[in-house]
Amino acid sequence: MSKQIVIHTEELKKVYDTGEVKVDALRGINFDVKEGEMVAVMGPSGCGKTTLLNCLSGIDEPSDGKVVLQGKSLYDMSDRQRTNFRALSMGFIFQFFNLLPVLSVVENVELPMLVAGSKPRDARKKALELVELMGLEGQANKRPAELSGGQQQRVAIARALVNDPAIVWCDEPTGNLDSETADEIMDVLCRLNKEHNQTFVLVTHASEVGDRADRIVKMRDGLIEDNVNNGGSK
Amino acid sequence: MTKLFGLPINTLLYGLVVTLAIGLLFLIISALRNPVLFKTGVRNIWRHPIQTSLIVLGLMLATLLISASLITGDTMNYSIKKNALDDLGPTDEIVQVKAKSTRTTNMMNVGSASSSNSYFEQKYLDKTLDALPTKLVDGVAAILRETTPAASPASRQNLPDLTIMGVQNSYSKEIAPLTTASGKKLIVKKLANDEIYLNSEAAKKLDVKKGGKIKLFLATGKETVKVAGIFDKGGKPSKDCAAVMKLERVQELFAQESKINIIAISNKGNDIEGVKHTKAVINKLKPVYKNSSLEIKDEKKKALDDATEAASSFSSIFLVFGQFSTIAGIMLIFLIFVMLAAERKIELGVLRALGSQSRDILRIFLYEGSVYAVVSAAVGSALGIVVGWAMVKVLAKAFGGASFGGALKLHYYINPKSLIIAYALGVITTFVIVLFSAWRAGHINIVRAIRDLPEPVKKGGTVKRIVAASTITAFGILLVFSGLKANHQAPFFTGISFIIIGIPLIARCLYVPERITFSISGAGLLFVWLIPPNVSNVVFPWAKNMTSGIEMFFVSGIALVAGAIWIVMYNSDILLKGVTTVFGKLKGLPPMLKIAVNYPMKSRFRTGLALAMFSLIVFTIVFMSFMLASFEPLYDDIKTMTGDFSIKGITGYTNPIKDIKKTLDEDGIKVSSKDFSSIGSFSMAGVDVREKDAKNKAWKQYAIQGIDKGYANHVGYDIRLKGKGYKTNRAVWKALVNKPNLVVIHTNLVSAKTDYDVGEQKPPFRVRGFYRDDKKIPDNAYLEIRNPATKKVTKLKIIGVVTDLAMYAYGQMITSQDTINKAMKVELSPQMKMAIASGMVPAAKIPPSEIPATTYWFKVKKGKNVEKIAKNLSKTFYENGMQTTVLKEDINNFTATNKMINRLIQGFMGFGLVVGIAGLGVIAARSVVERRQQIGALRAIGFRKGMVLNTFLLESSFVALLGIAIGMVLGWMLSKNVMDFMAKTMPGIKFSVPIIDLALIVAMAYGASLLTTYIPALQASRVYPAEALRYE
Repeated sequence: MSKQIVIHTEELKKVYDTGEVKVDALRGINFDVKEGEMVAVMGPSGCGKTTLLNCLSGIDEPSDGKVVLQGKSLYDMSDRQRTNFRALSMGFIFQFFNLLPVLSVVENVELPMLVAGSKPRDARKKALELVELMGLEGQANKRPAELSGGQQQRVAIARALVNDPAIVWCDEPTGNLDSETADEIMDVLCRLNKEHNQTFVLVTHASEVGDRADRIVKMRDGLIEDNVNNGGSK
Repeated sequence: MTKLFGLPINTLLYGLVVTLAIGLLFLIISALRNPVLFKTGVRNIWRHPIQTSLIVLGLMLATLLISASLITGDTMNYSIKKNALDDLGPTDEIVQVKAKSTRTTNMMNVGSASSSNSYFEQKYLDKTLDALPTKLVDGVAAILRETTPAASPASRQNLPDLTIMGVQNSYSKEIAPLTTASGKKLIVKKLANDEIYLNSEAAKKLDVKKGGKIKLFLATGKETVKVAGIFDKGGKPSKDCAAVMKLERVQELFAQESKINIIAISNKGNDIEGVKHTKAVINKLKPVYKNSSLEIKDEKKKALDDATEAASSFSSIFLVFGQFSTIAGIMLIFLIFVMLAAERKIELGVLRALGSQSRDILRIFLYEGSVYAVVSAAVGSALGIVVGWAMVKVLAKAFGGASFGGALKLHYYINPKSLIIAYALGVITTFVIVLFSAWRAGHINIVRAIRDLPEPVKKGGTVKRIVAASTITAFGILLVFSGLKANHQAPFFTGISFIIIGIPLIARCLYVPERITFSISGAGLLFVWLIPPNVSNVVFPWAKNMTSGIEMFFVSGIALVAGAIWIVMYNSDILLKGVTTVFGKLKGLPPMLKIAVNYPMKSRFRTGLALAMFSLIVFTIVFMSFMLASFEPLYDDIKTMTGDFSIKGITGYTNPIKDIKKTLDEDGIKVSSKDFSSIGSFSMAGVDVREKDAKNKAWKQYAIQGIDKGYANHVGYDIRLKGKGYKTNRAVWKALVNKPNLVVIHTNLVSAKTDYDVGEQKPPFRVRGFYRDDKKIPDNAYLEIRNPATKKVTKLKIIGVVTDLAMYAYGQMITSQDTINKAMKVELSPQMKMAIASGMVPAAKIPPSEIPATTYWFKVKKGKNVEKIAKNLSKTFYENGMQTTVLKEDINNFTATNKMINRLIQGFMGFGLVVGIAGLGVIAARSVVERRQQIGALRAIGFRKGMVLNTFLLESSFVALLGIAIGMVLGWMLSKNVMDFMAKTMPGIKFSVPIIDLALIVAMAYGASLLTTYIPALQASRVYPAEALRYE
């Protein structure tokens, strides 16, 4: 059975206009991702990887073009609808983790569920399960600052997955970690991708991360230069 | 004002200006030598305009409060001086008979005299003129000045005390030319014997015009004179209602041929500048009067000094009540610079990594901070002018209708010195705080700064901590001892508070967790300052009989707020749990609530500081509201305030009423004695007074009142302290008139253990043998009064202290008319007796055998129209110059004035709220910048714009409402204790909850804080997630 396309773009463009200089960050991206696929977007610094991820996830608005997620045109939605869609269908993992320092591990993890309107008790139960799943037993009540980088990224992954999103966006998920921890994190991501059939789009310039994806999309100067099936080594 | 903060105003001014000049010079030189650092520092000012505006707003507030307080004082000073100058005119010194019998001396009248002993020969004028060189004086005049009742037969209006000045023609040329409203000069020598010039005030009150006639009620009989002119200026020295006649004619009318009672001297220079020659003039004249009964008085200088003192008291009211706001303002300045340092942390770390020294970082901060200080102090001083103007407007309205001493016309006035002081104080205060913050910022760990890592939590005892803890504790112990020695509660309880802070700090050094140490410390402070006085007396028996003052309010405010904030901040988890449990079930609220309460509680220092600012101000306003509400019932108790009389009537001394009941019944115009349930009277005499057996043996001049039986049998004033053997108020009053040599004094004349009066002008003497807070008067409490003429001393036993609420007995010594008559009796020489018997002495020169009553108190029967009766009394006793006052109206005017001033003070204190609100605004603005990436992450995981906005508003609400709650609870509890305590000595005070006031305070404080944080919160919500995530 052929898998459905969950991410589809048409002539996606993004121009940064600072008033003095115009920068074409994306110059017409056409690209599809299928359900359960793990795609790595790679390329040199400034090629537009993160901009593409931001435009795909709806946290930045493209200058032109179309993004269709799960059959819904993202930029035909209002900001409120788009935010709700993001809350229910997407998860985010950032290079600098972006955890809230004043909340505990479990509070950080349960936050997206609370935002989505879950009951606090249900959110706490699910968050604790995920914390355990991430191998963070006994760390639930600690603050992010009390954890190592790898542990913080695991918390960020748990937070990204807590709403069972269809798509998980990862921006340099291992960029701030040492190679051993980076491997561990990639093991977790690959396992989740396999077990939950969630779609992963990873922006990275680390080849070892890209090597573990199903497909590598190579970018240069705001355009897709290459789009190759990797076979993956997950 | 001559003094401010205990320093002479000029010394303070020069000190501040020199300090400011040196500081600025140092900064300018430093900036010129380090242009790059200067640019780095000041460019920050333009980077965040909203934040800069908030900083300037916050920094300027302390200056604004100081400037507005000083301007209010300047206005009072100028206005009171102007009033004094209006009374004296160009007269700088007056020559009079040395403190002679002052039987008719009205305490409010400058140098008024009319007893037989107060006259002297006119020839002294020539001697005076010979002794004074023209380079010192520009006018000297002989005056015979008298006060007498006057009435206009046409209008039937009267005056009990028209000042009549008998002057020579030279007077109007040299001293105070008489000028009409149209500018025409009135010439004294043109006056006929039956003519008089009236000033416009007297003409208005008598309702008489030029050409009209008035009657003078003299001791020698009635005299009708024609008004030959009405002058607007001149006729000094005198009070409001004055008249001028030829000297010879006044001498004739008062049977004082070739006698005068005043030589008025006008020094060179204008009305104010002339004072500088006073010392030289007095020195020149002393030898002239050396062996005579005359003395020279520096009237102008004294009046100006009195005005200065009165104004100083007034300024101090606002400075004192503005102290909390100033403290909050200083905390805000500190908070602002701590946050600026946090904001620049990475930048400063990089600068240090690149080779900048700590002192360079300090300079960068100093340059930036100094620009803020210089600009904001200027804005504060300028706005202080506006606020001061508004305050003067309110005061002018309040004083315009003032009773008890008459209305005071205010003239808005700014002394440039005040503005300079306010400005310099503002800049220097800010500068010192900036210097401290800059020093802190300069001592950063480079790696932690660059990586924006939090400072590690230090545990246990570092050298600094041990030294600080020991110093605080030792200082506390010292203060306790100093309080015990001085027998004063302020140092004692401040010391206890320092010990309470110090001991847990020592415990922290011994690795006791901070949460425990600060919670215990906070609870200790609350305990010490909130326990009711009776419990406090048990816990601190040494402080039971200590004295205390208004400073206790300020110490208690700071200690209570510090204690409460520590408890809250170190136990925030319990609070958070409570808040999330209560509100966490509301749909959509949990995620926002979690963030909104967690962020402020984790930034303990800045939230604590913001909370302290907010709580402190709310505490003061709430406390004030409770005080006002609790005092309110007193103002409604007209009966207690008036002694249960309805009308007061004042008559002239020279034409007293012989038998009031008889006159009422036989000649009453639509009024008779049957209209009254009671009629009482006062006589008054000027005496020298001192407390028997007091350390200070000096005699003080004071007035004593003598009451009759009618007064004693009805008066309803409460006797707060009674002498031994007196069980009821009536027993005291009756004893006063039935037994000789007893006295009742007003509370104001007794020293207080707890003296919360601010800006109160103290009477010339106070009884020190017992306190007004005591339960009874000791049996050996006596006053001594001395007849100034005969030097006869009479010992009076104090048998009662009248309540503060006795408005018409304020500051009075009250005895019986018989006691006064005996004490003031003038023994006539045998020659004088013979001369009187033979009819050789004119009636006006015969000393009266007793002092007549000049003030009457009427209790109108129920159902009668008090206003009408008061008017009819004036008509009936028109020839005695009776002026009536309906006491209820008078009290209502007084309470309206009082309430207006209290509200003004409360409003002034409310300025501090702006400090707290600005503090929240600064924190909100800073939070938006600080948490930009986190906002991006929140938006990415599903926080909508509105949720971000609401999270920030909730966060500010949490801090604001917590601050309001702390301030309100503390204000409530402390005022309950204070009111319960005060109610014991002042029956009528009832602790009341001012619900509307409290609701208004909450609404205003909370509403304004939301408004200030709305803009930064809106900015935060509008940030596009991707843009926020990119931000570093």
